[in-house]
Amino acid sequence: MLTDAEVLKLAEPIFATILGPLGFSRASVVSGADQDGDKAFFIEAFFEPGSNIVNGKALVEARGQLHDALTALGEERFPYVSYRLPGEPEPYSDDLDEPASPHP
Amino acid sequence: MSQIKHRIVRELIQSAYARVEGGSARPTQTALRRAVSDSYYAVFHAVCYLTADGLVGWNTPWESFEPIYRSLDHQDAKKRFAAPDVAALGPEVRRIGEILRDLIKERHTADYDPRPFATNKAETLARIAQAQEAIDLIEALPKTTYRKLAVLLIAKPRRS
Repeated sequence: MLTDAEVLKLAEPIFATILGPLGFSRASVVSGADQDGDKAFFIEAFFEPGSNIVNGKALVEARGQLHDALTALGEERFPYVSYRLPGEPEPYSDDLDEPASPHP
Repeated sequence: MSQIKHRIVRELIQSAYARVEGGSARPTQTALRRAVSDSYYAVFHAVCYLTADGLVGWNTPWESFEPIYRSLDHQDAKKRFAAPDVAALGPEVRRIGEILRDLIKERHTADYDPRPFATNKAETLARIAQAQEAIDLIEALPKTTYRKLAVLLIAKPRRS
């Protein structure tokens, strides 16, 4: 069983190679369970503000290569990857009247 | 190569893009949630289409096509793509399964989690692009892989 730090060490070079041209800057890894209770890694890949991250082929390949590398090491937990682009306008809230969610 | 002929797949992708890009530069969280959900269902329908088309063919009457199309549920799809015999079909098949699994999780959050949706417009467009990539990968599968995948997604796993 790999630690989060070991997965991060594996992920960042893969992401830097494939997603570097898109503006990849860094990643973070947290292990946990998904909506079905299956153990998994939750990875966030951060990009430089203003990057164009809409490149399905590269995003899929980056996660795929990481998954293949994890599998080759005997790791069965799935790497869920969220691609994060800071600095973009936040979407309008779903709340009708509240300036912020009443549920912190 | 086998083009997906069921219109719903492409129209769900178009619907996802329209929800995000159709309005202002700042879409609502609800629009982004629905776009993620549309993206997931586009890929799920593409996989269901693959199973039925690969086993009985798109030109088969609905009474034979529909039961195969509907025999795969969301949990089955997640489990079957993770099975070693499916993964052994090649990297393209693994990529399709990974996209589907990722979108299952995102769809679950988008549809059921009442907390503010923590995904912005660009990040949502990236999700839609990955869904489109899954569809492109399905359509580019060699015929033999396409048929084997259809069988493995539907067949009851063998007990050793």
